[in-house]
Amino acid sequence: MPNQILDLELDQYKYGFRDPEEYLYRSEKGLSAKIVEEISERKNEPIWMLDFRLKALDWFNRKPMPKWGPDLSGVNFDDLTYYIKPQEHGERSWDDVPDGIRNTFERLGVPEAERKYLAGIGAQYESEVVYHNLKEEWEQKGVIFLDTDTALKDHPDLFRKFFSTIIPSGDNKFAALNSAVWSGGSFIYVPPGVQVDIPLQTYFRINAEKMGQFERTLIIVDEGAFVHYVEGCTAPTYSASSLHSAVVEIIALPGARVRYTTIQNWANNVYNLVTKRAVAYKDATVEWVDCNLGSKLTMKYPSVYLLGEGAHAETLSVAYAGRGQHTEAGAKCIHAAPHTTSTITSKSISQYDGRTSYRGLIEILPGARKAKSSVVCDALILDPEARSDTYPYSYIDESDVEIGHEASVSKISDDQLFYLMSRGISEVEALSLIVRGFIDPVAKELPMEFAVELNHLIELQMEGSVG
Amino acid sequence: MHTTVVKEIQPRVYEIKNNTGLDWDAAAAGLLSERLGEPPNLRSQRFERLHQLSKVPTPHRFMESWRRTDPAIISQKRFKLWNPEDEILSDTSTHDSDRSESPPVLTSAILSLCNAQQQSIVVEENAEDSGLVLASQDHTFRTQDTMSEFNSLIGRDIEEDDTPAFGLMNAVWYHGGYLLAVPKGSQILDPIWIRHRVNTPGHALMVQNNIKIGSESSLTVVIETESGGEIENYLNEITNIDLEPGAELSLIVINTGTSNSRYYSHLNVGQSESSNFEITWVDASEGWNVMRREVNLNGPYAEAFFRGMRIGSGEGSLELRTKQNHFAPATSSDLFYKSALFDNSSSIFRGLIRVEPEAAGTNAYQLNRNLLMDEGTKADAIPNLEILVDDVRCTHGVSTGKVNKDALFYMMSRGLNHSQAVNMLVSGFLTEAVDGLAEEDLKDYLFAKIEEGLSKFLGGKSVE
Repeated sequence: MPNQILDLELDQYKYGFRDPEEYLYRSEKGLSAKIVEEISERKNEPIWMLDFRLKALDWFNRKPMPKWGPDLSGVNFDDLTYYIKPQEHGERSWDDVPDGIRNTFERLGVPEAERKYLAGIGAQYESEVVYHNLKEEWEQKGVIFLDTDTALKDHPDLFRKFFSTIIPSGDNKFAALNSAVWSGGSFIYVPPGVQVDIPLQTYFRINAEKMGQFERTLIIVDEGAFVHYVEGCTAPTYSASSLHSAVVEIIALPGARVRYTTIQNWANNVYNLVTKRAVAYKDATVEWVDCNLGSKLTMKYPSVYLLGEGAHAETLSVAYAGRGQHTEAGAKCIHAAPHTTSTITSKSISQYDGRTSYRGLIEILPGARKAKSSVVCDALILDPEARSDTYPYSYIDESDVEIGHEASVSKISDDQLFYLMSRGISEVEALSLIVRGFIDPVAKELPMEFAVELNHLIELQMEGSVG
Repeated sequence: MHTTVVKEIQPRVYEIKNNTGLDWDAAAAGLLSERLGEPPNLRSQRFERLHQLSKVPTPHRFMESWRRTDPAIISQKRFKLWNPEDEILSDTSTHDSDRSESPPVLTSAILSLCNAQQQSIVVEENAEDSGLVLASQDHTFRTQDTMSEFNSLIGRDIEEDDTPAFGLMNAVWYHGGYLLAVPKGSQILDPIWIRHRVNTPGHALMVQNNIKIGSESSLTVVIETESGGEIENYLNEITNIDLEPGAELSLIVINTGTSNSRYYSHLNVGQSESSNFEITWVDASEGWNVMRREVNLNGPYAEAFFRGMRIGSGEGSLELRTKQNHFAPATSSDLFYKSALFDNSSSIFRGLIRVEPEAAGTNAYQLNRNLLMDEGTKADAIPNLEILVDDVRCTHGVSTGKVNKDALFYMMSRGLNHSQAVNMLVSGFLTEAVDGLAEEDLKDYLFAKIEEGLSKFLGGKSVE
């Protein structure tokens, strides 16, 4: 009966076309071909997608768990539920939410009504209204912004042309898992020359215990177009022993620019193992702004393949690890064309017994002449039990390049604290000021409301760290 | 000779016979042990290691740690073991030059080795008076009762990540090497000079060296290794170093090799409280090289410095793997490694700074700079940090690029021609790496080595 205790919402961005009646379904615990077939059938998918899923399941079964990096022994694939349609129920009341998260909501100033809405039942997306307001404007310009399942139905040709072309189903064990059981996610297409100057946003949430969430996002930005997509977790979510394993594919066609912002604040018992990859064609720019504050374990290495001359990649990353957390956030840039450039800025903070790791890759392929890459990783360690790692790989197969990497790890210096405190600032405030200054290079790239939230979240996480 | 010869062991006369070589088996391990006159415990240790070796994976290129340097190059399948009994190469030219070419500075002792066998040894009187022990292993067990000094070092287990195989091979089949010990409280002012010429055509030679510096003693050691000949040869060398409290050791390593040299080297240093270890190296090998250099700062206030530079040429590849392990409070380590790469040479740097929870107050730095001079050159860098405590200051930096055109322009506008300007920039770039060496005479010697190494690339080098 264990599956009966599970109630969840699968993905959080709800649009009008979803009938609440259909949310009352939950697959059996564990993973099998039968479940994959069931998911596909329920979604009424074309046969090619079922084939794709089954092949991916095969890959998943054959691929070993990664032997490198963080400890994944806590992930029990048999104990997870892979597909649940959100169900309306009231059993997970706000009172069930741990103090930390509830407190966070309060401090974020989310109104009482909204808070109920978030912690409660059914529709999890307050962002939906915002998007609806903008939807007509996008549609008139030819922008497509749908959940991935609907996009498969409504735009089958466009979908099939790009789907899984960036991350093949056998890419790694978790991408294979996602490919087999994916559900939800965002699909964005921006036509040539269209500048979507207001960010598109999707909010993800896991509510059930031992739930696996596998959303699949595909973003195609046509020539000379621009889009900024924000993914949140802009407020904390709650779940127990769950797995979040997304696949995000971005295609930036010549001259396009894409910015993908994540503010990840999963509860501290979510394994967040995602595969995010972009390709940038001639003169295209891809920017990842990646803020990882929550989760039990995060392994996330947003990548950009610079395939066209003059393409540019930029990754800005903030990682925080507090009690019992291991946040391994990195970045990869593969330079496969001349005159390509990349910059990576990573800021990490580890506190209590938390552990942050930066694991990154810069690869310059033969012929990528005049490629330039610069990587800066800075880490703050706030407690003696905390840990910080830096694993920057660079494989350079071209001589006409400029590559730089720098990293530093330190605690907050007593001098800095003393200076601020001698000016009448309390120790807590001083600490928080220094940390805010430390992450500022990333925070300033966020839309204002997110930057404010990020600062609030960091402040919250650090509360009580002094005295 | 500027030194007083107190003891000179006459070089043996070697003859060239057919190179049959030894197989990689227990019989060879026994034979090598017997030949060195090892006590039974060391012999049985070899057999234990052989057993361990059978349990560990063979390194291969699909391991992430061997992605950029193919370990199959030194596979056991490609080489037989050098047989020291039957077929010692009579390399008279090298041998003569060993004896004729004096080191450029006053020395306390000179040891010449060829294929791990002692050729000659000269120890100055006052060095011997202060208790210096220097010998090659093939003489030690028979002629000196110095075993106790090295008991803790010989055959010591070395932790080797995912590929313990090369270290184990060495422990099973080592042919010899040198032993160097300085007792407590000895200040030996002039350096010890060790020259090792290796040429075992088509064969593998395993060498194990052990150095022990007593409390509050200080010593400078210069090690010149020259390897390779006309046929591919494989040298696997492990050097264990122990520094007692307050000991100071400055190691200067000069490595040259032909394109046929295959050199796997592992230097493993254990440091007690307040000890100071410095290694300064100049590497100009054209062969295949994997250099592991590891310091373990086990006692508080211990300090370690790595300073090195490399001139890459031909198809030469060098993978430098360093570890700065901080186990005790208030320890510091600093690594500064530069390479200038010509022709089709490549450089791989894998460094790790690890600071354990006990090592509060640590400072640790790592800096690698690579200059890519030619089209076919490559440089990879993987400088890792693992910091398990908050009270630290750790940084690392890597840069890889070409000669700075602005600097070139500036110098040419001052009247230098192109190749002069390039030469000046490159030698300035490289010499910075060894500039921190305190001994001026030795520094000049290293500068000269750098100039010598660069000289073949001068003129007509175009940096566009």
